[in-house]
Amino acid sequence: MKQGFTLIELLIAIILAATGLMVLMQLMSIAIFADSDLEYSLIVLNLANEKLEELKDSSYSSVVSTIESSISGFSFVDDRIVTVSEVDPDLKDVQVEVRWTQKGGQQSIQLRTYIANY
Amino acid sequence: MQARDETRFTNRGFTLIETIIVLLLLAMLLGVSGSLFVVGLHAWDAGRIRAGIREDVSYAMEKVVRDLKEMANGSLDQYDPGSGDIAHTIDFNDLDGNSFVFYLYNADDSSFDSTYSESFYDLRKATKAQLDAGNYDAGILILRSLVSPDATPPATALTIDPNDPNQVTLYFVVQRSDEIVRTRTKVRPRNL
Repeated sequence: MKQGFTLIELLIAIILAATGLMVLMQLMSIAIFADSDLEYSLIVLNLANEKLEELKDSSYSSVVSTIESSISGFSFVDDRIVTVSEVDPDLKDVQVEVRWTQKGGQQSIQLRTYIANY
Repeated sequence: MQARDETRFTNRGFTLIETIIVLLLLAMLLGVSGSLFVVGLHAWDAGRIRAGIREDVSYAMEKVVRDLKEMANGSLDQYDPGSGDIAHTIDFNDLDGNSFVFYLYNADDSSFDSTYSESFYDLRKATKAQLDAGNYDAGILILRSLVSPDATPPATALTIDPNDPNQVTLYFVVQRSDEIVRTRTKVRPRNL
């Protein structure tokens, strides 16, 4: 039994090594994509905040529901939706939703605040 | 004789053909995984740079937005060193009555350059007194390597809305190596 490896054994070894390498590559790409996920969330969070600040700066009567179907300079963003409901005569519940498309499909974040008529 | 043949058979290593096949397969495998690895490394590097930019941008956003949100009443303006307002600067007072300025800085400029002719600028924050005394480089770094989306330097880094002096637009376009990250938001100082 001084025999070396057989071809089959070697092939199995190569296949195992290949599988291992593939897993490593997969991990690498997951890490890279996770990174771009974070980047998009940062940007859309800022865009949602932008809308809230605009609304806080406008007169109470002009705080109304709107939909922007695109935002110039940020082509990955699908839309920015403002939903306003008057919960009290002088109090509006304002929700800003930004939706964007990324490799996993459509994603969204929402920010919500109250704006009072004072 | 037969026994000797048998020994020879069980002790035999690879044939040349087998070795060549194995080497070819290995070479192919290494070639493919090697090139994938190189592509992956580039992507990794880009990702690392972008992560750095992201971190810096989010710090800068937070810093500027907080400062401006809680600034004291009635003093949001562009910095005026005595020779007129300078674009992309914001001059404000904090609640303790100290005056600060956010401004764009490049070491190659010796003072404010109204045309912003360098290819990138850093966002800095200095006290108004420091700038009034001519210390253009006295500000602390808030965000480095701001570029303009269209060739001319930081076109819209910090702007006070001309139609609405209560609103500041922050538009940060940061470039490092070949990676560009852009973010935008607005802030309305709460005490105005």
